[in-house]
Amino acid sequence: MNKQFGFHEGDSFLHILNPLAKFLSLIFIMIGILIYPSLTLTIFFLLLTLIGFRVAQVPLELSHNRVRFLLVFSVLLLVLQVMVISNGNVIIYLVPVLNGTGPFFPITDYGISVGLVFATRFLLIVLSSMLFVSVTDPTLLAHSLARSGVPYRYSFALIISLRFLPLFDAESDMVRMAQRARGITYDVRSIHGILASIRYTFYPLLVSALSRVDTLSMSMDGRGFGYDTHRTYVRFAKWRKRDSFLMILSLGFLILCVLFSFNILPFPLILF
Amino acid sequence: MIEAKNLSFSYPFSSPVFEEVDFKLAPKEVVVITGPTGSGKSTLAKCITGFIPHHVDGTYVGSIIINDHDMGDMSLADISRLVGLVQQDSESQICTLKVLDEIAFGPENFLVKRNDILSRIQESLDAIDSHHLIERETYALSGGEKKRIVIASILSSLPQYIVFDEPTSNLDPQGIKQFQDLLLQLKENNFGVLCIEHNLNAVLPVADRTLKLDDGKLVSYNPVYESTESNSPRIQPFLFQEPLLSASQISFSYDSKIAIDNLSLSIYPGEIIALMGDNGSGKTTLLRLLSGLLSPDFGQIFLGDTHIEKLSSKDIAKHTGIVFQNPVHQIFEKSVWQEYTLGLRILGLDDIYHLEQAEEKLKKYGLFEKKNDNPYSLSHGQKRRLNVLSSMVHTPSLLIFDEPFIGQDKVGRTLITESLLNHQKNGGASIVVTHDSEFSKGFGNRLVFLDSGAILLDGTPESVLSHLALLGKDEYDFSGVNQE
Repeated sequence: MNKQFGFHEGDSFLHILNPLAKFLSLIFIMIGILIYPSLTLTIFFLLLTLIGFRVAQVPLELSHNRVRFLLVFSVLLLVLQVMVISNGNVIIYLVPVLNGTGPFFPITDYGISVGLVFATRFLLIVLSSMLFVSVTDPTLLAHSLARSGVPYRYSFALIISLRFLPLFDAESDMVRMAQRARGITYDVRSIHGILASIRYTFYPLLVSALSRVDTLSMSMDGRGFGYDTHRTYVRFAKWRKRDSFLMILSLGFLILCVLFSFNILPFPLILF
Repeated sequence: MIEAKNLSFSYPFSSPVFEEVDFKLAPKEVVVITGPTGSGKSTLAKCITGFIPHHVDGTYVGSIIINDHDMGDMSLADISRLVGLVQQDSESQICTLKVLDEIAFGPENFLVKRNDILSRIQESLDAIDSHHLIERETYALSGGEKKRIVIASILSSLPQYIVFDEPTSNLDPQGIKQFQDLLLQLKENNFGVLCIEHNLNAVLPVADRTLKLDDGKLVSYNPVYESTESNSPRIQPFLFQEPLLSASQISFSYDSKIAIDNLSLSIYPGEIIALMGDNGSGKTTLLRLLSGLLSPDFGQIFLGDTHIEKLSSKDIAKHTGIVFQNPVHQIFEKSVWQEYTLGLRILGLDDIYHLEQAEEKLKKYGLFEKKNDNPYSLSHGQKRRLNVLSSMVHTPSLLIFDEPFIGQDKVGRTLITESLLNHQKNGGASIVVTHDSEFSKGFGNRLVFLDSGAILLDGTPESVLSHLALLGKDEYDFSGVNQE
């Protein structure tokens, strides 16, 4: 099975960080980026994320459908913002003056900058989450969450969703193969084609997923899941100095963003 | 001892699955329960392991006593410390990403200390001879390997009784032999074992008692060996004709793992080819390549005299009928009839002649009464029959079936083999992945044995099986199914 998403085993710097430290840092940085809308900062973290994929040796194939979808969607976000925001200095009108009517659809500098912030933020949130999933062992994450006081029933929900990610990936490939084997083709550029695609793809996938629920819950309950409020762990993650350092950095970043956004500190121009 | 007394159960708004069943399972005992598809064997297994009534709704009458305690007064967690259930679908039972985590899952929940868990993991993997899998990722295992890991994950919780539901369905003959050894080992170690099984030959050598669940009653049963061999003379393939499909020096890899290695194969009209090999030997990948669903990294495949990659999926579908392992993945319509005739509509063959023929076949397969039902509501065996029927509705020349007999009772199995024989008589060819040498010898006129993605042996079933015996793989010659 060719796994596109999910945990990729490795021994890179990103792999060996404590899962909880990675998880909290990701949340702190995302909150910081959301409350302090700086394009430069967002692009900086986006580049850092792409370097992270490289360092962790996690493939990010631009040719893959879902990665392509993310890129297309972010471009759509940009275009939508540029089209609907009319504030700011007009650079050009999409429809110029014709026979005394118009102009319509102004493209403004403010619209472009807001569009870019939205599009890059979207990419950053999705790609950094993908990187986190790729470099974090779910079992170690569950252990870290349990140690931090999260009941293990909830942390296991995360493990199970990650466990079934490659399975559903493979199942959607299987369903597509089964469609081709029957000669089923549809044109997704038409409404009829989209409906056919939903019917022929999501229906078998949904039924397959639902049919697994009972078996899985019986399998887990039948092996003592929920027997006690605690459980032991064969594999566990240790907290090291580098994890504390990462936490200090990311928490510091979040505090700075809060201070900037509430004007407690003046905006540094370089970051705007 | 587990003792069920006057046990009856019915699902909501349904007639009873079984009534007044009495059953005993003692430590050091291996009991087999067999019966036709849909007779309630899996439901009985759920009762004996406490999931009914704890997990499943329905009307439950009677009692089950385990080690002198009434199961009705015990929590599911307490029951699961005593009885473990290995369910039919291995894939859905695995809840973690690593083999080690999966086997540790039960003991971790029962608060076993780390060092003890580590030794239990070793022992469980040793019991199923799969220590090499310990560092593997669970999603990347083959069907047979997953089955082994699920068994190990139950063994590591050290229950006193284990219930296996169709344990040999994905196992190759070597895996079945190992499973028999495991049952003997469990018996020696005081476990009580209940096996729900269609494939009686796989478990009878180690069973102490056999019971049959049929028409809602559980009765003692002495299976009589019946050969599944065809009575009619074997049809010889038409080797003088052009091959229907030919693959020349094809190779295929998943990332760095070679699945098919420089393999050549031609399929001629009149052939029923049994494709056999150990779990993970590349059988399913080969079928996907031959049906144009995967493209080989090297080599070429021709359907008739046309390169398969030059054909559209509709053109390939016109000439081939494919059945995959999981029936759910290949059901697309809302009613049995719509699903069955989908191929005709896609290929523009939904005329009166074809539809009348289709109706006849649906009647023969016992699915006509269910023609308006949702296909997902059918039993596993019925879904499989529907898959087989749907793949043949447009009379393709080549049938490509991946383990079509899994979960089939005697009736379903006979219907599928009859279809293959009729197809052969009409000049068609079939390639069928199977672990069942009875089928190969009885109905196949050629056996191709794969090993590590390459053809190890290719010839008549008898000659290939005798060569396999010389190579130390004699278990393949005894892997027939004495089916119930």
